[in-house]
Amino acid sequence: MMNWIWAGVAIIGIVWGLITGQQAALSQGVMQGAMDAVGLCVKLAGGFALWSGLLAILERGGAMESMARITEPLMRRLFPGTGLKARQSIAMNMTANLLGLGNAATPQGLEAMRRMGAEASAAEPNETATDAMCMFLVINASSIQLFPTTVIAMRAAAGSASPASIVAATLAASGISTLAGVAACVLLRNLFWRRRA
Amino acid sequence: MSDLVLPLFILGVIVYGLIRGIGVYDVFLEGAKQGLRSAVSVLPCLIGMTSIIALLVKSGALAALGSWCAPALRMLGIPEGSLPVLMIRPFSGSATLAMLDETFRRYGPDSAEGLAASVMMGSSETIFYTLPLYFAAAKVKRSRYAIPAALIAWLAGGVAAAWALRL
Repeated sequence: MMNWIWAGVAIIGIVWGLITGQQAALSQGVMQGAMDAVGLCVKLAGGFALWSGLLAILERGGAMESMARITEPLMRRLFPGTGLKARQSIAMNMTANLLGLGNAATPQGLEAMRRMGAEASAAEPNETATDAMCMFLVINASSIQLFPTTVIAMRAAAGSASPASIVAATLAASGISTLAGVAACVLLRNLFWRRRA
Repeated sequence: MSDLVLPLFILGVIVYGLIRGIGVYDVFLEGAKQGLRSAVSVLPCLIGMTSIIALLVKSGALAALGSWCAPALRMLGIPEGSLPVLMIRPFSGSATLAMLDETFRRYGPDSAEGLAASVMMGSSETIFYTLPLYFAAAKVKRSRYAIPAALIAWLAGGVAAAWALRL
């Protein structure tokens, strides 16, 4: 899919620019864009490294395991019908996401999915997503992050007077988005996507 | 308030590490090395995306899109200039990064547009990357209501981003 989007964006930009007679701006802009990317990466690297370093301390201290224990009652509520092992992976994935540890979150998330898939196909082999899988995916896709580390680093790189000023608003917005996702899951599965028993 | 978050977080992490008996500096260095590596690993995507997005911006196509959508956006309270970040968010993380940088460049990171775009980037994930990856891990082909529900969450996040900043 990314291939189509990338090609589509390029084609729209070039065709539109040629029609409106912007060829000089186009050729100058595309080179400038490529060079800007390198500058952006260099600036981002500092923030990335700082955050990853701090979060490694939290991870080493066992913060993720503690969170998995604390959140177990909530997990049982959100993901009924899943086994303990799957729920542990789910909790670890969510904690990693919460802390902004993308590198740790994805493997845990995939492990959670694999376990849920194994449980589901043991019960009834088919290739349809369970309610727990959909819920997990939607919560993952709606992002739950305490510190939007990349955004803060980007803002700092762009010379913001207060790079972290968006933390509270981001927390509110991602909270609302996650709640909307959970509500949408419950609503949609009851309205349209009832699983044939 | 917001300016306190960062220093307090760092303080908390270091104190937590010390209490847990961790060699805080050594572990920090390990993590930092990994962070550097991931910054470098996004570079090819970033170059691909920023140069292509530059085409979209310089041709005026993006401005045209923004002005078409402006009335609907104004009704939802979303600043026009933050629309591109919101639109590209579900498709690609690095494209969103490139678009956010472009938004900062044009409006400034502390403008209404820059702030809204910042919150939008942080309040959603790359739906169309996460979904196929995760469902493949579960060996699932039919995703049922996962995509519509994820898109509802994305839209709610976008509108909430614009509103949360007014509080």
